[in-house]
Order: sequence, then C-alpha cells, then structure tokens
Amino acid sequence: MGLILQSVGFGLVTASVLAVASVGLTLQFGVTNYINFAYGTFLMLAAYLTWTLSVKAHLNFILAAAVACVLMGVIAVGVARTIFKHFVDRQAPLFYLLIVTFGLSLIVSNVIEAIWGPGFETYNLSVGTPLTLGPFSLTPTQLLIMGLAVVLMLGIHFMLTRTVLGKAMRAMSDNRDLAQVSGINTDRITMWTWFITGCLAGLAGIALTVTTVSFGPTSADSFLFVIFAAVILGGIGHPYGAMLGALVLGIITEVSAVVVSSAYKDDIAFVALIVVLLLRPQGLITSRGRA
Amino acid sequence: MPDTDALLQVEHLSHSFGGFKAVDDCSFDIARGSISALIGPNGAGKSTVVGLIGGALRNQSGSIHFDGHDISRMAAFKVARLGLLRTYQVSREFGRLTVMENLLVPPPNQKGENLLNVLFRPSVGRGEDRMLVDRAVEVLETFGLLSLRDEYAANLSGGEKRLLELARAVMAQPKFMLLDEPMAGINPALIARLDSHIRRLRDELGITFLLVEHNLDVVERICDRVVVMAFGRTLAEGRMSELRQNPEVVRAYLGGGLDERAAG
Amino acid sequence: MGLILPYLATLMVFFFIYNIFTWGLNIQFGYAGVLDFTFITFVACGAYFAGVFALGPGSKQTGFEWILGLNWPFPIALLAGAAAAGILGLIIGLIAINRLRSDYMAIVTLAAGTVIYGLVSNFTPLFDGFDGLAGLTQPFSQILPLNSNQFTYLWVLVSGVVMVVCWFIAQRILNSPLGRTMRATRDDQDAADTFGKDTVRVRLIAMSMGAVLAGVGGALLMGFIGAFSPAGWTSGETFVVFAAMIVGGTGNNWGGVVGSFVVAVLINEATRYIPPIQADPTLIPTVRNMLIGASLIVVLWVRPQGIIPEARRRLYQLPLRPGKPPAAEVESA
Repeated sequence: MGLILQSVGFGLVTASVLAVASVGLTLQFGVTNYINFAYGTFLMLAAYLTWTLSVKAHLNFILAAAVACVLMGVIAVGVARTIFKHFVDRQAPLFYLLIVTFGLSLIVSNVIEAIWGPGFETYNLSVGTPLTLGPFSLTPTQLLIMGLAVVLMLGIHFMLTRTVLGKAMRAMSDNRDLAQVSGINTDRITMWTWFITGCLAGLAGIALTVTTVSFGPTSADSFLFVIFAAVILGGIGHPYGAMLGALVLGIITEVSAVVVSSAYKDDIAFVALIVVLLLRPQGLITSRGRA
Repeated sequence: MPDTDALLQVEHLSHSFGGFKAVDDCSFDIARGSISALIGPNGAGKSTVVGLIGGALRNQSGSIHFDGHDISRMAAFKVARLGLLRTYQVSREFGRLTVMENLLVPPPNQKGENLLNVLFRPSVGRGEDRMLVDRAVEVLETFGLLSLRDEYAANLSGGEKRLLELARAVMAQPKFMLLDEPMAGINPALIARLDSHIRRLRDELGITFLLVEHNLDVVERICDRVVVMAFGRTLAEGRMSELRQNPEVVRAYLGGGLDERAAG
Repeated sequence: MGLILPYLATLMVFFFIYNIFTWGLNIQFGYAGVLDFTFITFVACGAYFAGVFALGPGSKQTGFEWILGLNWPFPIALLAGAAAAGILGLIIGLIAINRLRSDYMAIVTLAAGTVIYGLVSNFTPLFDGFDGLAGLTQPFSQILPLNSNQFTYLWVLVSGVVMVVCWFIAQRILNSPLGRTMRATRDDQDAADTFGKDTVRVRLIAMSMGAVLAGVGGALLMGFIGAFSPAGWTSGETFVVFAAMIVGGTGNNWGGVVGSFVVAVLINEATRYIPPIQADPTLIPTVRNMLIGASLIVVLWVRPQGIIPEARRRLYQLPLRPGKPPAAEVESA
C-alpha cells in the first residue's frame, strides 16, 4: 500500500511534466488544426541543447534550460514558417501535413543523433536528498518541477483569459474563419502559438530528462504517446482538458508501473490511449459548435 | 398511427450540441412520390435534421422511420442501403476519379467489390462493369455530361459538379433523395435545368425528393409540399402559396421577406 | 567483376522486395487513404513468422528462444508470414480505422507499432528479444546446395517470381470495382458512406491486404538474410517505404517501382555499402535518414503527385452508341 501511495507521488511528478507537454501540443493543435508528430523530437532537442549549454559550456543549469526553451520556441517558429506554412497556405490535405511532420521527426531525431551521438548523456545534477511529505518521498528537483508546472498552468490560464494573444488563440481554436473575419491576424497568432508550443515542449523535455538518470535520442519516443493520450482524453485543442488528462494519465502510468511492471510502462500508456480513443473518439474532433 | 403513404416519418426529433438545442421536438412526414421542401431561416436546424436523417449524426431523442424501417440511430451507409440518399451543401465529388468512375461507384452490391472475386475471378467485375457503363452512359447523356466522362471530377465547374452529384445519385437507384441546398451557388440557367431533372426523376423513376432550399421561387415551382422550420421545430406545413399567407411563417422570416431569397 | 555481380544481385533483391513493400503501402494509402505509420511492423511480422515456421525449435538452454520452430519448408513459411501480417493488419485496423479524421489512424498505428516493438524487443520467449531470430539455413538448400553467391542469384529469381505475383494482386485490386470504391473512400469517405459503401470495411480490406504484401516482403527478407532482429525494423524504416511511395507517385504501381528504385535502392541501400567513416560510424545512417525525411517533404512540396502520377482511367471510353449524337457541352456555372 505504501508503495502504491509512493507511486502516486511519482505520478504527480510525471503528471507535471506531462501537463506542460500536453498543454503545448493541444494549444498548437487547437490553433492550427493538425497534429505535430515531430513534437517528441522537440522535447529531446531542447534537452540536448540544455545539456550542451550546461555541461559543455558550463552555463548555470537554470540559465541553460531557459535559453534552450527560448531557442526551441524559435526553432518551432522557424520550422512552421518555412515548412508547415507552405502546406497550410496551399490548403494541402491533412495527411500531407501529418506526413510532413512525420518526416520532420525523422530529420530532427537524426540531426540529434548526428550531433550528439546515439549514446546516453546526463546533466550531472545533484538530485538532493529525498524529502518525506506524508506518504510521499520526493527529491527537491521533483518538487521544483511540480511547483514549476503549477505556476506554468496558472500562467497559461492567465494568458488564455486575460491577454489579447490568449483570447485570439481561443477564438482561432473555436472557429478560424470567424476569427479571421473579426480582424484577428491569424498568421501572427499562429506564429506565437508555435513559439509557445516550442517553449513548452522544451521545458517538458528538460523536465523529463532531469527526472531520469540519463537520456538518449529516443527517450521521448514512447512519452509522445502518453502526451497524445492526455491530449485526446482532455479533448484535442482544450488546454484545461489536457491538464486534467495529464493528471489522470500521469498517475495511472506510475501506479500501474508498480502494480504491473515498469518494463511495460509504455504498453500501459498505449492501452490507456486505446481506451481513451474507444471511449472518447470525439475528443479528436475539436468542437465547432452546431452544424 | 403509421401513415402508409408516408415514405419518411420524423417524430419528435430533438438534438442538441453542447447545451444548444438545434432541433427541438421536430415532426413531419414526407409522402411517397412527392417533391417536398424543408425551409426556414438560418439556424432553424434544417442542416441538423438532414444530418440526423442521413445518419451523419446519431439522434438523441425522437424517431425517424424510412420505408417501414427504424433508421433513428442507423449508420449512414446502412441508411443509404435502404434507398435513402443524401447530398451535401458543398459538392462532394470523388475528385481523383473520372466522371464515369464517379457514376460507377454508387450501384449497390457489386460483385466486383468482393475481394475473392477481385483476386480470383476478375472477369466477374469486368462483366458487371460493362453493364454499369451502359447505364452510366445513358444517365450521363440525360444530364449532358457525357462529353466530360473521362475528366477528373475535381476539374469540373461548380454547376457541373452539381449535375454530377445528381447523376451519380441516380445510379444508386434510390427511393428517396435528400438534397441539401442543391441550388446553392449555381447560375440561374442551370437552376432551371436542375429543376426539370428533379421533376423528371420523380415522374420517370418515382424517386421521392426532399429539398432543403433557400430559393423560395424554386420551392414554389417544383415542390408539392413545404415544411417550415424555425427554432428547431416544425412551424407550418402546406403548399408554398398558402404558407406565404401564414403570419407565423412570415414572422419567422423576419425582415428578409418571403419574396426575397431568404438566404442570409 | 567477381564482386560487382553479387553486389548488383543483392541490390536487385532489395529492389524487388521494396517494390512489394511500396505496393503494399500503396494499397493502404494510395488506394484507400489509410494512413499507416507503422508499415514496418507488418514487414517484421511477416519476417518473424516466416522465420519461426522455417527455423528449428529454439530453447532457453541454448540462449536462442522463440515460439514454434516448425522446420517447415520456406514457401509455406512465407505464406504463414503473409497470413500473420494480414491478421495483424486486421487487428490494428480494427482499432485504428473508423469514420474519424486521419490523425486518429496515424496516432493509433504509430502507437501500436511502438508498443509491439517494445514487446518483441523485451519479451524474449517470443522472437528472442533484441537478439532476434538467427541461424536460418539457406532455404531450398536440401534440393539445391549453393554457395552464398549462387544463393544470391537464386534469391533474385525467387523474389522476382514472388514480386510478379504481388504485382498481379496489387493491379487486380487497383483495377477492380473494389479498388474504385477504395479510391472513392480515399477521396471522400463521407460521400462514399452516403452511397451505402461500408467504408470502414473497405479500408480494413486495404489495410489487411497491404499488410499481407508487407509480410510477404518481410518473409523474403528473412529467407535472404537468414536473421531478423529489432535493429532491422526501427520506426524510421516506415519512412523509407513512405518516401518511396510518395516520391514515385501514389495510386499507381509503376510509381512504386520508380520510388523503390530511387529511394530504397539509390538512397537507402546503396549508402549502406559506402565504407563507414572511422571517426563517426553512425554518421552515414543518420545522413541517410535525414535524406529520406527531407525527400518526403520536398516531394510533397514540389510535386505531391510524385514522379509518376495516378493514371487517368479511360477504361470506360466506350464508343458511343450509333444514332445518338454526343451530348452538348454543359454550360458552366
């Protein structure tokens, strides 16, 4: 029982990382209306950038992580502007974009492998002694990640409800055409969305790799499906749904790793995804009001 | 209660989208062999009703009967197999198929669609196709599309696509056709031709029609009976000329006026 | 000269096998619009099942363990591999294919592939985990004892014959009313539904038949190499087949031939024979993968119809019946 409670604690950590990643993906999907299969490689790219900046260039880790996140946001905008925009502007069929993002993930993951090699890396951070909080036992790093995620979610909430950008993003997510005729510069909002999704992907990638001992180029491959599951559970394009989905799936994956076996963590994520898809297939269709 | 003469019976149909009641206790019958229209101001719930009948939406309450079958919650392809065929507001041609191929898709129960026949007895499909092609040539001729038979459907003009949709539907030999704004976005000359095609199909093949239409002149010209919807429910039924006198109907079309095109 | 010929024969075998793959993916995607992001899993399924049907029994003691181990002749093993892949295609299809958006298919297939990959790699009793199957004796060696070069030439013949059979399967489906309904489903699934076509069933058939061809190719690969392990079917390999199909042109099988030659032979296989750079042995495969990813994007950008576009079918250009003049042109709207 104690073990299960303890795994709930780990589940909250996973949920925090997952929430950051899922909100990033779902915001982008809501605004652009296609899924980015290269999202998992964005996570890893940011992690490797952080590694280079902190371990090789001896930058302060927090600073390195911040720089890597912003860089990742810029890279996401760059990719969207140069590649995705071309297909969107020509109203290419949806599967073109899916194949393009799929192809992009191959390119990015191989760029990572070409630059950093196929081996495993570590940040050389001291994890600190675990603190016992009730039934949970968590390291300061894990607590920091959870705190950061909560702050970030509040920030996202503030952005969506209070800022012009956030309101425009919600409007585009609801109805792109309507948003456009009501004078929203959809091009600019799309680019800001890509910047935000890139930053969030970066942050999630760094948090993910910090919580594991070491990481390799493929570390986010299966995590991508947990992200998909969380996003779909929450209803694609709905940031608050994604937060909730992340919480549910984070705890489910960690608890089941204890109950079943950690070797099958990915499979449990997949089963969760399938169950979500079977129960809530409409989660994949952003609600567009009445027909 | 069942009216033997009614091919389609819609009873107490309701459907809402996230709290918004798009269709609210809507009922009407469509008589066999008639050309009827479903009209109403924008947002009256016409498109939702079409979606519910055609099986694109699963209805939440109420029932739909077609030709003695309960189709209330039937999947679209099963509804179609009973002989109920719908079109969409925008043309939905099979773009990378030629015009001729577009016509060869609809006929039901083709033996050439069976995988075993395809792999081991391809002549079955070819023989069947020859007969279908003969029929398709006739249909294309009556719709004036024969010269375009080898053109990709995606390359047709908007009006030609409308004709193609009607021609393609005829190949399925339906009992009932549900046309969702068939006249939208096509020029007046073609409207007159579509009119006459619809009447001819009813007279020659006995196909029953229900048109969702904004062009009330067209409705008056070809429809025997009109169902008016407003706020998700049936407001009135009858002949167009009578409905023009109905104050409730006139009020529903607030401002637009019944003599104008009510499309907004 | 002594080296060139076996080398060319090897490339030829890969070319033939990739043709089969590309046609298989084309049935799924080019005909029916099924987005299968884990095509390579069906290849692996065919290879593994062909392997365990043809191999002798494995055992935990020797460190080589796998299921079955029936020692059956290769042709039967090939059919078993094809059938297993077809069944797996049906199972994944049942989850992935419905009347929703294509994102759904893409996510489910990719996720299913990832999980199967993890399962096969970690669960050794199935196909010996990461080490994979190995030690398959040359097929037909009892009737035809050959040295390795001669065996390569034999395999050009075997895979060539199998390829021709696959060509007929792919062409028959494409040119049949079933293929027409598949293409209609691809162009507009809702509209095909409204004509009473069970589009989910049609797509399942396409998914399964595509997987069968994948399995056949996988079995041929198994017979040729004599071994198969997870290193041979990373998710990147699906891109190779996708790139071959898109570069060559979807919706027709000649496009598949051109695409397999350009992508699978010229880019993919040929670069494997460049000697690895001493300092960085992983550089060549990563550059190859980048090229393949880039070729996908570039072709979709510049020429989405591929090198050989889908042919316009004039099969129905029958002579008009005598006595009736051609109908007048329709006035355009």
